[in-house]
Amino acid sequence: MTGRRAGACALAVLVVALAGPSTPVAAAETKAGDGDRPLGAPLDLYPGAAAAYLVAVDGRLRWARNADLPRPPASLAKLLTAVVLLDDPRWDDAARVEVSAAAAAVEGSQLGLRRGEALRAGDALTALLVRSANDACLALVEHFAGSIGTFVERMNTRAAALGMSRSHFGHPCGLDAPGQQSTARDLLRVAGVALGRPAIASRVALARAEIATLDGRRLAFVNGNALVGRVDGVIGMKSGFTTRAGKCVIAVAQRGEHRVWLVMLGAPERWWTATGMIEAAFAPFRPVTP
Amino acid sequence: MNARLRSLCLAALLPLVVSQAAFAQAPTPGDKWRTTMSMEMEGMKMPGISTEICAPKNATPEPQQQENCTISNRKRVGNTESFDMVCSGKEPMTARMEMTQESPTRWRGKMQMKSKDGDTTMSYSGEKLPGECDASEMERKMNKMMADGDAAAAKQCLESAKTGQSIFFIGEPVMCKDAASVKAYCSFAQTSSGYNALARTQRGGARVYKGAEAAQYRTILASTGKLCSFSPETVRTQYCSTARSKEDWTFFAEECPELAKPLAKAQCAGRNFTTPVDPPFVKFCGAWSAGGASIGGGGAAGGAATGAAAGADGGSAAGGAAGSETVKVGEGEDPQAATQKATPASTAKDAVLKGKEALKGLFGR
Repeated sequence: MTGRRAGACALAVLVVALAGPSTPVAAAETKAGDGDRPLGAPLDLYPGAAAAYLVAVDGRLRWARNADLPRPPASLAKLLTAVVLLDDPRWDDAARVEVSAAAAAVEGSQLGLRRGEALRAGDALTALLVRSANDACLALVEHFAGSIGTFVERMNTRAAALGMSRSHFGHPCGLDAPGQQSTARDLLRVAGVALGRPAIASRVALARAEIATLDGRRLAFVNGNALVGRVDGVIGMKSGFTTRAGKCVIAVAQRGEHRVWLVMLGAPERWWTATGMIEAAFAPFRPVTP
Repeated sequence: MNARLRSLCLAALLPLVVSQAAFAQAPTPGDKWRTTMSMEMEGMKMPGISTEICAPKNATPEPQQQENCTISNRKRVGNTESFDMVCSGKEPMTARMEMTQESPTRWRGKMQMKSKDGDTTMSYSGEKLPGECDASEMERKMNKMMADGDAAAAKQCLESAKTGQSIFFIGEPVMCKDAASVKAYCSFAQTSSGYNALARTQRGGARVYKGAEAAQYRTILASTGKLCSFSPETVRTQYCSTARSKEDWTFFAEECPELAKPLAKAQCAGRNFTTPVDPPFVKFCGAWSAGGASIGGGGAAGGAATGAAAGADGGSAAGGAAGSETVKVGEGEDPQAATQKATPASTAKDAVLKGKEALKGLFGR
């Protein structure tokens, strides 16, 4: 075999070894074809960005750090919550959802719902996804599952079906709970599924929203994902924060035919850094001449 | 079994497929043969393997030359031919081979080898089968496979060139040398995004890897410049001079720190992400922040360090006010300083301290 052919064979072997499945987004496997990544693994180009992160461009993992490291997902878990809610055959946007005392008193990010108030399920879902409202989240969970425990079981069943093998959920709203963990890669998987649901995609894209309780109290809020409306092409997804998880965000941006996904867990500087990482991911598609 | 032994086993199985058929493209009349090979190694006997092959009519068994091997003492006594083989290199070995043509339709042979793996004896035989065949068919198929492989490799080289996979073009061994892909790689390397991609790979690889690998990564731009006959610094300076006006913010922030740093100080320092900033500077400040994160490794020591209240992802929104965190640009290292200082062994603590130092330098506080 000549040197040339040996080289060709070696190259072919490398190509075969590196070519990942082409499943868009969900798998986000590695593939040759990226100037910023050495062979074998995506380059950790942003070690200071987050405890764990990944950037996928057009369905291929481009940069990553600890993409499979289990970490608390914070409110990013609500994407799975939304998927599970919409999976429920009884789901109805117009369903009347009452706010229990427990829901009204839930800790963390709230919409400010009051005990005994009621609102449409669709509006509660908007608050859950846009404002990351735990009171709306818990009200929905209680309405459709009866209890947190039952809903969490559904979440874990759904997560397993999605192939989120390193994830376990303990609270439907993402509050820190014993054993609750996920990974950047697993969360990307559920995010891809969530984006495929128009009821979710249309809500996470809102920079701001306004809903009303059934007795007419109006509640306006802005998206907790500060990238929406501020960074070109960002079409939404979810932010999250808990003491254990740190600042987290999943963002998806579309410019022309190119799509970038970003997942950051434990990101001390998430908004600015995310902005820069998204810009960098799109940079190769915007050739600049001197 | 080492690679040479495997190769010799294959050679032993195919002693009749000789040069007469090599490179033949037209059908070559041939006879069908069944060859059987068995092997004994270090007292272990392996069962015989039979293979049907097609050999050119009237072909005689010939020893197949192996890489790094010399054949000597070749003799023919009656119907028996024998020779010695000595191989050097990484897998040195010696071998003695005998082949006996027992009749026009039958032959047998034996090869005794000594290598670092021990002694191996291979016995083989051939028996002519009824019927005819095309002796060049296999060669044609192999040639086609090789041609297809070359075409696929060329295509992959071109793709690798267009996406700046430097590893295929520089370093050892160089896998892509064809003019078209080298030209494409050189063109890519001299675009702003191409230069930026290679520079990132250089920085990232030098940080992640150690020793010779790190050294290879550290010279990506220099090696590319040498391959493509351009000066990386000239290209960088050229793009830096226009990056701001062309709003090529990622390049500007990451590759032109001497220009970006004052702009970051003026436009980004102390800015809250959610307060209005001129749109171009949102992108620039993000690129500057990510640039720091990309090199320094500062400030990502885990979420617990943030110290905020559990579940407080912004606070209550009742009444329309959205809670927003106070986020300031600039955490992380000064890219230029970090380029000089960062090492793979840097701890998160070191990185945070460096980031703080860089902040002081950048924002004067």
